[in-house]
Amino acid sequence: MGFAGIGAAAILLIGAMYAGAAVAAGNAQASAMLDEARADWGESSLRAAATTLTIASVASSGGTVTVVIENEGPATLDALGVRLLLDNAPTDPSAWDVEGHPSRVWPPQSTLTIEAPGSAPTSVVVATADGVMTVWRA
Amino acid sequence: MAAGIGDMIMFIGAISAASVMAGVAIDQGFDMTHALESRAQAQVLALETSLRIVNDPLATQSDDLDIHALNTGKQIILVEQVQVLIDGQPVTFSTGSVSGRWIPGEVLTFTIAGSQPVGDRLVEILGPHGARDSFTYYEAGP
Repeated sequence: MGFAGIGAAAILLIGAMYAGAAVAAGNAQASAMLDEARADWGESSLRAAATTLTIASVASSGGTVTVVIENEGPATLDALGVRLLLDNAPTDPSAWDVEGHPSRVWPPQSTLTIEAPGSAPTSVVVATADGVMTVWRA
Repeated sequence: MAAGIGDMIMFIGAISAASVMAGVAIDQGFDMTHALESRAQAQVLALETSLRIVNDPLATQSDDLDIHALNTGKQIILVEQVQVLIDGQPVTFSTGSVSGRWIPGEVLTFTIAGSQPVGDRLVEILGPHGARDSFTYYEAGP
């Protein structure tokens, strides 16, 4: 084989090892990115599947609409992620509370009360950050 | 002497050839790494991009059709990357978005000018990275 053959084989081996290491590192990084995204997606999907909302009441007084929503599922939700549509128009809440506290943590079996400007609506849509919706109609 | 020169030429030739092959292997390795990361990035974007139409299907529409959609993903969606279809046909729409960026958690209203034909209508919103949602309603006419 000779010295030339041994040298060439060594260079080839080093090159192959370097290329293999680059692929392995890239694969590990890609897998980590995917695993994290899949975990987040799975968590969000599970939370959405476990979310059950009911609009308990809608009241209107003095230009303010008060919507009381019950979290009847087993998932804790983000009260600040809740979106409100009054008469099919997105409306920004003026105030909210969870069981009387201005908290964004909305635990299972508790009520979220949202106040928004408006007059007596005929339809109310409430949607969570995960896209779970519930509809109330007069 | 002649044998020594021959060995030297053999040595240089073998080392050169091996270096070229090793370089190609390393280059291929980096290409493969880049491809793996690009593919993973595309899959991550697909997982993190989603939208949901939040209209009340029974709400009466005015002359224009308003479709409200919530960005339920983790990625900002560029409005220019969104398509709206009614009964499978692309339609032009406007939104109230000034920046053209639809941030996660935001409800964006897509307004389709003009009245729609009376009857059942299928509205689809197609976003980037495979994000989509559909919504059916009965168009009662103006």
